[in-house]
Amino acid sequence: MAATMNGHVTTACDFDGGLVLEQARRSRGTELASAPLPPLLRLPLCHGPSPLRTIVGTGERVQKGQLIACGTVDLHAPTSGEITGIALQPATHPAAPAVPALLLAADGLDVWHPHVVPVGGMPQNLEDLARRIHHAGIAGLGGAGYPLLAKLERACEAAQRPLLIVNAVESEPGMTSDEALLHAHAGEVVTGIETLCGAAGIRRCLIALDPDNVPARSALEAALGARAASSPDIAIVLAPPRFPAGSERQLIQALTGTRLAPGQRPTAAGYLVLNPATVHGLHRAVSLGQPLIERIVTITGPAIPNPVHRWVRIGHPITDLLDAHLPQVAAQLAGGELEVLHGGPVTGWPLAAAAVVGKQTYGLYARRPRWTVPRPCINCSRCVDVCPERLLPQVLLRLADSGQWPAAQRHGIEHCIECGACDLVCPSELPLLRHFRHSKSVLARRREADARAQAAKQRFEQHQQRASAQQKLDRERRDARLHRLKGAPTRWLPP
Amino acid sequence: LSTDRIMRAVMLALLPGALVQIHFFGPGYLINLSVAFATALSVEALVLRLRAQPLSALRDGSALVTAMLITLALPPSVEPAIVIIAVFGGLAIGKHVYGGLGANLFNPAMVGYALVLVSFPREMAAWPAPVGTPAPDAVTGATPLERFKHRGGLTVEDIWHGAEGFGHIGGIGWEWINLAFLAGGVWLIARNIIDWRVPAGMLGSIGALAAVAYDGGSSASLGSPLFHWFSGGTLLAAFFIATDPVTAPTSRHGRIVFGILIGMLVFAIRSFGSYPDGIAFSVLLSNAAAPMLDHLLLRRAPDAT
Repeated sequence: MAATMNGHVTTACDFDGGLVLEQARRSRGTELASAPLPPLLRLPLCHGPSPLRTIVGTGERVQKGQLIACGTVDLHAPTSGEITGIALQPATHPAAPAVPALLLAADGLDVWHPHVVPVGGMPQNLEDLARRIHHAGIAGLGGAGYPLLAKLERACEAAQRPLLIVNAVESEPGMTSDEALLHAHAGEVVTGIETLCGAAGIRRCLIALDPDNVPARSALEAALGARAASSPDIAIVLAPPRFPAGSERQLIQALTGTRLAPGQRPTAAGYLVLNPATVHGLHRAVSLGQPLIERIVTITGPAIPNPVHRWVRIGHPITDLLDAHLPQVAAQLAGGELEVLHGGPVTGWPLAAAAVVGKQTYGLYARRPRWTVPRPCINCSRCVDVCPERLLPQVLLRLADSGQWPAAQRHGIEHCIECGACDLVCPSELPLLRHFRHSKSVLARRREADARAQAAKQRFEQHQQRASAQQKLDRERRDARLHRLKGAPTRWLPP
Repeated sequence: LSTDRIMRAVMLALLPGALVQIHFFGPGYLINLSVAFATALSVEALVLRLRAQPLSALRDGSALVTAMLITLALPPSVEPAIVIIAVFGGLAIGKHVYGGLGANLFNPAMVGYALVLVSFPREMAAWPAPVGTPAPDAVTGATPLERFKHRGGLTVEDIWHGAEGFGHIGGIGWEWINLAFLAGGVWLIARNIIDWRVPAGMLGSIGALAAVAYDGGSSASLGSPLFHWFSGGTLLAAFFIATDPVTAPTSRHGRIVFGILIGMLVFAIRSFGSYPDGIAFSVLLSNAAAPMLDHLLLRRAPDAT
């Protein structure tokens, strides 16, 4: 290992493909305040595709931080109030069906549950840390929402000492939620890194920043300078100023020079890539005992004249959030004149007006709906040049459009990381990303159906086997009985 | 950057070459151009109507680019009827029969040009003497490529100084026309609108073959690389026709091979074929080979299962 890099700032190498985007980070430097509490919060009972099981009933009073549903990632009451019922709620993802959601009427007192107290003492080992993470319901806050616990366990299984990469490179143009968090809470994030590394035995950590992210960089340098501990080794790395540097596979390539194999998870190669907000949540869970009930959301886009970031409770309806910030935007959203994207302008998808902020909602991007008429693909290969995974988007589009799934799989359609770089350069304005998302969901459904069919076949075969074994057993028993009665295995004759 | 902007940029880049060509061969091109544009728009509109497609597809300008390329490839003195047949053949048969823009296998401009080239050989060979030819002995005559091919037992030196119509490096006029197309093509490459690989492959292979066959200029010489580059439609084809992304291979290596193939075929047809120039047939044959080149050379996702 190289000499200690503690607090040093280095510049990363590069990754394949990608493109330079004009960045207008209009929300940079705006104050980070808490959004006012809405009267009613809606808490979808699912994390990604997996459902959560609620443990509270209608009419029950809950307090802030109280566990209200269990599953892959536990859900806690974001504020104190009363559970008024359960209702169907449009899922965050457009392709997902509606999900049941708990309705929580806030009482405005916002008091913590008495169990939420600092546990005291640092977690000494992975199990202790894992237990605390599990109780705090922490998911990846960068956008994918992958459960932190599962990620941590995978990384520690794959490598003795995984490399921790804190990915503060904004995943989308115009987004600044990571920057705002680091600017305001760099010390807590650094403490979180130390806690995590101490418990998991990680020795090295890289914090990746956008090269123009001066606010976060200065705050981090100050926090790193004030550190007492010398382990782990924490260094700041400036990512290449190209989109999609915030994508974890591309970031790993830029930082370490390693190209992950197609479909290989970073954790499988011993890289633990976490969003700073996730590390911040971990810090709060470990030192204050507070579960994850709020996150930073960037509210920006051409339709927002004064972009901001806000601490927003999970389950906060986006209309209330926009209304409190800028009433006319909420009205325009209701009237269909505006669309609000979940995430950023490149990979974000339009939200239903009834949508709420979830654990992975890092940004809301409001703009006028754009109507473009896609023209035919002219085979220009610009998408091939920018694809960071070195796929062939124009070929994939043709194969997926004509339903040639095996060929599309051979060309690696499932390794598309959905960064949207191809959309940005297509002269025919083809919605490539949308096609690929759809194709991937079709393939996933087909795989599920195949697995179900396989399981059914196996069940049937096992049943057949059991039945024939039973028949054989019955015959043997009968023969044995006859043998006992007649004394010899002769043919049985009716009397 | 959008498809219509790309088409507009291509037309803009064609402009210097077109102006030089008008300068040397007279304003007949202006009439042909207007006939070709009018035909292109009406054919495109008619076929879109027949295919029940929105007429907004007219706006992409690809039909106008095709019309412009066909006009610049034809001699200036051809009758309007031939221009109309060429444009109709290029757009209706070369493009829309395959499913319209983006789906055609063959370069529409070359389909139209080849159609009239084999249908009207006499008219297609009638090129006027370019402005600047000393004492032309007829209003129309053979192009330098033709003279060079049928020069009898003359050495290159002899024909260069003895026969009319030869300039410094190519034919009189032709060298300037090709130079103007080169300028337009380089601008397109600099603006990242066309891929440099196709012209590089094509000009490289023509140059290499010509250099090998030049033999210092004997009576059996097949012409110097410069003569092949700056005569006929070489540079127009290299930068504006062969680079059509729809009909070129997708893979990068494939595009180089595609260019090399065109160059080899052009040189072979010019040297051993019965036509003085072979751009159209070389491009069409290579278009037919493009899917196979992609099949052989297209990069797959690494280690994709």
